[in-house]
Amino acid sequence: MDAAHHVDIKAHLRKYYIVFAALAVGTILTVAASQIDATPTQHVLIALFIAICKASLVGAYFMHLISERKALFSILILTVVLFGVLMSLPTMTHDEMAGHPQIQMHLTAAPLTGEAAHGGTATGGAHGAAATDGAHGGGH
Amino acid sequence: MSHELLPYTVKPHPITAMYSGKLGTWLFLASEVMLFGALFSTYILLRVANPVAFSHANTHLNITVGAINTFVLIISSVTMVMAWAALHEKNLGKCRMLLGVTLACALFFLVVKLVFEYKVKWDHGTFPSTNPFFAIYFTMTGLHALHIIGGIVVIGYFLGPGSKLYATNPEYYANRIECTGLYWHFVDIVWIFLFPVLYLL
Repeated sequence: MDAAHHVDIKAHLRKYYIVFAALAVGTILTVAASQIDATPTQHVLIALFIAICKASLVGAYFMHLISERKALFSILILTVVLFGVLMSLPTMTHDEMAGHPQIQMHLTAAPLTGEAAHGGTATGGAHGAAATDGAHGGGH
Repeated sequence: MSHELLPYTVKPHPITAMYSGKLGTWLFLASEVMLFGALFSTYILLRVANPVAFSHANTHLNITVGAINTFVLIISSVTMVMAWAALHEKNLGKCRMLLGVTLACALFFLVVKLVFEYKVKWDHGTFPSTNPFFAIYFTMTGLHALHIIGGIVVIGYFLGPGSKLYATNPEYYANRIECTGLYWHFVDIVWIFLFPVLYLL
């Protein structure tokens, strides 16, 4: 019995090492993928795909979801559904904003305060300029 | 006595098939998903409204520092789960050593975050009020850092005074380490998404 338990722990440890290697490779791939020439949408999709794969590995093996009981998944399914609703809210709000340009202008222009708005330091100034560009881009 | 006050701390509950601590931890993590979900939702809203500002602003973040911290958190996740496995090998010494490595990784993450990221930005006059990108950047990474601090407190407790429980009830101690691990892995998962979203996209 003890020997079987020991073998089981050894098997677990082997899985942990493999997952660790996969997570390290995933991190390198995430950084490498951000440097390739692709559209912003493609960058988002690639980065999210790798992040979801990495998170799944952590959840499945480190959090032992792969061997958990059914009862837990009823909690997790509800969480996933509500998380999906949360993520879809900006899309709905964006459609609302399209009909109300003043709301969009308020969102983009209002936070431009502090040093960046007044020229500030080199870094702050650059961000301020970028944010102003964004305000123009978003406004139209 | 304590077993009567708080039932199913070691043995699984007949309905949920989990001990109480694990069920409670998962419910807590579900609420945490909603908390970070609201912030990710806010990020999307701000990014859609400020596409150019966001694509320019994140070029001022240090990808190398972010990647190093990602590796450090991954290492800490592995050592955390190995600490739990060590308890199943009935090896408290190895467990404490691995918890110590996890704690060191957490402290390293915080120091790197504070010295090589926040301080550099503050020295350059970049604050949450600078623009929408840095507002959400400081909010999300700041909240994540608070979770790291929370993890340090809990891991530190089980590494120190909390480890006395092992002598009287090793299974209960192992369960507590497992719950701490669940929380710590969640903190790692949040960073797995924060890193590409804030630093790379």
